[in-house]
Amino acid sequence: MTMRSARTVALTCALAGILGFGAAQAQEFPTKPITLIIPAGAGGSHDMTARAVTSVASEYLGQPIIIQLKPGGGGAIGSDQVARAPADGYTLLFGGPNWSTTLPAVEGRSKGPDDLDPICRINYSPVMVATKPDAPYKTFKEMIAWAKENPGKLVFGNAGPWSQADLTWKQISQITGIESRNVPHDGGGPSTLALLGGHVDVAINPTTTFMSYIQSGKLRPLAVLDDERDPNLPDVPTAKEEGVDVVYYLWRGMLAPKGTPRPIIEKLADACKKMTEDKTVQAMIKSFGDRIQYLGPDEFGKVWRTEFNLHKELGSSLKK
Amino acid sequence: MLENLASGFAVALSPWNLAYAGFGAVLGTAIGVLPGLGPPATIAMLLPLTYGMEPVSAVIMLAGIFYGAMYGGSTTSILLNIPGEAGSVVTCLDGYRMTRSGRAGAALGIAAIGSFIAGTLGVIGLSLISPILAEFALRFGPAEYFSLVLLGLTMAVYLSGGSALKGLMMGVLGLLLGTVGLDPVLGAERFTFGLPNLTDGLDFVVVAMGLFGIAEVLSNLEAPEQPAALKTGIKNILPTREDWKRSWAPIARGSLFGFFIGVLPGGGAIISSFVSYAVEKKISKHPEQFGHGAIEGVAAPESANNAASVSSFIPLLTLGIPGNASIAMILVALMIHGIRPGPQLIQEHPDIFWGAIASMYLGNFMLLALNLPLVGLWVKLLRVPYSILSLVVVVICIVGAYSVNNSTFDVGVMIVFGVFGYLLRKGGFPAAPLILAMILGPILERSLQQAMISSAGDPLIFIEKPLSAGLLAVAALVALTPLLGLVRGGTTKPA
Repeated sequence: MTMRSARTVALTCALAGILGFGAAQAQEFPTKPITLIIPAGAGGSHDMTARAVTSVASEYLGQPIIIQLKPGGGGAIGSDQVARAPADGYTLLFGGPNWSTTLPAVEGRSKGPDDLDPICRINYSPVMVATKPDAPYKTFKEMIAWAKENPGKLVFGNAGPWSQADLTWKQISQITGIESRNVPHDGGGPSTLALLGGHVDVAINPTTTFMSYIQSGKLRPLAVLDDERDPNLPDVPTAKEEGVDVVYYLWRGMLAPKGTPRPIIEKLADACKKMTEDKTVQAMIKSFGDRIQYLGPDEFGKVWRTEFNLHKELGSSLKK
Repeated sequence: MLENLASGFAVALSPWNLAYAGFGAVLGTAIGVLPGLGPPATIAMLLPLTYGMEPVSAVIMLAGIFYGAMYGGSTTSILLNIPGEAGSVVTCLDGYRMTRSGRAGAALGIAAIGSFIAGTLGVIGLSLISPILAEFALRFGPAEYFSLVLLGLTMAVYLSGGSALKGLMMGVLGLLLGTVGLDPVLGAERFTFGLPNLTDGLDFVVVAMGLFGIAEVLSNLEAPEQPAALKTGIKNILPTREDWKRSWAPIARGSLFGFFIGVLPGGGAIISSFVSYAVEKKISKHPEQFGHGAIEGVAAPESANNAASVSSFIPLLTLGIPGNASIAMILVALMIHGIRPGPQLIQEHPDIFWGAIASMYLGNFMLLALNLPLVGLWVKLLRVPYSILSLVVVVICIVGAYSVNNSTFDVGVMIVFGVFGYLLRKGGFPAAPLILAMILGPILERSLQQAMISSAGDPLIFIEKPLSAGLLAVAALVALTPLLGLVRGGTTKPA
């Protein structure tokens, strides 16, 4: 089959899907490789997760998923490209909260749930607050108390404007009323380095980033910003338990252009679920320090929409 | 320690690991020669290959690609005035001038040998003082970064050949171009004109390809005949005794600068190549030759970027923190195998730590053996008529600019800067200070903001930290010496 006729078939599929005749054609989907666009650079946690999960795509989908990196604009360039692509299921976006929730909700750039359809969530990394072991506070509560006694003295290291670290720290500050110095860094690696070197007092990063330093005693965990404790760190409380209700999911998932026919979404979501249940994939994800936390299109769509609304609200109340 | 290294060699000398190191080195050289497609993208593409390998083999191969690219990166800088990698931008200045005067072989030869010496010294340093250097990298906070970058910027004036004023103007323009994109504190857009392609700023590799490669082709179009020097480009395949005499000290100093500055995450290799070039020019007995084909101007930065590529492994191997995108991909390769590099790597996986280091000793020998014979081949390339060669340059630049971010927008940026670079040449404005300022500007701004926010607006932070104060003092000296000369002698040669 030539590329041209394959495209014609695909387009027909998409049209038929819109008209409600999708079920039969969706059974044939996909007839050619699917392109998954990651709107970030090589080597990030999204890139790693996407490569691990799609490594077994042809087994469960009948076609390979080809990863294309389209970095730029904090994820806006790749997201815009997918939002403009034909809604036929052959061009997908690897979504994440930075470019699929916060950026569109706060800055009006990139694309959010208004312009993209959810397929599934693959997993999320919990984020946590950590400090140096010699800090005068030993727990999350003590840190808050210390910051209140010494207003404007605590130095916090974020991972870039409106990153998970910046957003959650602003939330924590808003809820508790603490004042601090919020120092920007060019990502989680540099902010971890600054914490290890004593240039900042506290930092927030994914648990996976901090884990080896916690194990070697170079960092002290204060709180996990998740609904429940991390099974690898059962002694570390959640911020919620410490009285500050801040939760952040650093999720990874598949998104499709708005208007992709439901049968195609379901087929992709189903294949994704099977890929995430594959033993080799699970082993790889585990080696990153993450777990699979699959959510189907409807549940994930709800979580994503709630998150979008929350960030929108936060954005307007925190932006000065 | 020696025992550990010996066990490392036992790992690295196994036939498979030797083959992986060789494959990585050859591939690295190839992608280094081709501009644009850099080591991070190549390593990302090869990552799936490593799933089935032993983790130490994966590191050996991927590391080979990374330091191999540093060897190859100088080739197009010297032959065609196209910087192949970020670390080779400064090599264009004298390397291409040497080619134009028929000494391409000597330039390529000294680049390969300097790279070998620096690479080997770097690996020796890596095996001896990794943990100490890691502590040093940790102590480098925003105040120290700011002072180092300021020192680098004051040296920018030494990169310009002619008028110091024109060099200064280009530096300021470079700083301005460096502010394009998102503001580091608030994330607000600056000078993006609403174009999403500009939110991450201008890519300096793309800008450099335009300012050097395309502008060179445009100015050569004015002289329709074959440039005379290019015809004679096959003389002197290898560096002469005189070249050696002039190069050994710059290679040694370049290795030192590269090794220590390269340990700092974020742009260490590039900064060290500029700093070592500026230092050589500053202390040289014949600074007027720089920019006109001084061999020290090739030897020093090429040694620096190779030593830096080795020492940039230190933060990864001792702290688990990748200093640049290529090293980040190697981190990914290890994590896929369930190994998280960090403070415990040396204890928990000594085979990986020492195996990787031993393979770097061997890989450097392989690269030298590979690159020296290639010199003759590259020089023959110059026999191609310039009417054809110029088209090749344009095509390489376009493909290279596209492959940096898979973006056609970048191709347009490169062409705009190509035309701009041509106009600058006509006016006698040097392009190198612009590029240096464009690279350093964002680091300077970020570290200034970080330091000032963490000190709650108190500028004394830059003097209270001894390392920062020392760097600032050197910067002040560098900036003031031309002035002192003016006062004392009444005249001074233009810097």
